[in-house]
Amino acid sequence: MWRPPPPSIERLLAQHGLRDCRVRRVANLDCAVWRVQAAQADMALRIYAEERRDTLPIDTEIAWLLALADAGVHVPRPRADGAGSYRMRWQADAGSAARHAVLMDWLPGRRVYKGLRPVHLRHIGELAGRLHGSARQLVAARVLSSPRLAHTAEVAAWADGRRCVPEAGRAPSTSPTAAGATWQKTWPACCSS
Amino acid sequence: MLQFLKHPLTPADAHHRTAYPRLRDALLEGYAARHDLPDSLVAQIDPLIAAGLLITLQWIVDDWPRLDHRAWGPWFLSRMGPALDEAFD
Repeated sequence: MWRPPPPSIERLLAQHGLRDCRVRRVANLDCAVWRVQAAQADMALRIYAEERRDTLPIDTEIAWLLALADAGVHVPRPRADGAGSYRMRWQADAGSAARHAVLMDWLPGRRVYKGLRPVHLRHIGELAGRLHGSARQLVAARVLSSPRLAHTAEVAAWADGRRCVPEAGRAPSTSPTAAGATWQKTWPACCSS
Repeated sequence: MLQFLKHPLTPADAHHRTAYPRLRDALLEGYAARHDLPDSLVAQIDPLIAAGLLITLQWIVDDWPRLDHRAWGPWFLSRMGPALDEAFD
């Protein structure tokens, strides 16, 4: 449902000179994504999950998206605010933890669900090929500098029991404040070493 | 993407699993039209899907306050073992 932006989002949009907007939250899986309807154009405001504190993956993503958009690839182009910053600081309210946020162009399209066909996957494969080609060029040109994977599977730790799923009912009832730290303490003794 | 087509997060997405071979092949065809696709990479798809399952599990364990923080959490966990077995068959 479209609605006026909450004050915290209104302040972010004002940093971009956007006023009298309407917003609608369209996703809330890991990141929250708000579609923003402004007089100029529709945009997407991505608010990263609280635990996504590391700025390097976000800044790498911004640099990559800018390069892709410049190359004509169909990706959302990040938008800098009035101070030239792409990555902004957002708080739902004064008592909440700060989170990163980025405003981007909105790409119109439709959600394909039961109608997913091989032709759609072929287009996605073409896009992935262009993404990887771009990344290779940007790394060679030292535009992207992150040397590590964004996420890694800790296969050895799972295999030898240093990682396991917390027992039901033993998970903390409060939100974790740092990735892994709170849950690790609640793991069964058999999984600790 | 292939992870979630082969191992959907909810029973309602099971039709993607049925169509998985055709969807995977189309994805690879599109990729190869734009970028090198070594045979060795194709052979790594199932192990990479297994790694993707572990990364999803790590996200749940590290970042979720409870297993049912998202509705698909318990079902995902119940399917984890068979999915890993399948990846390494």
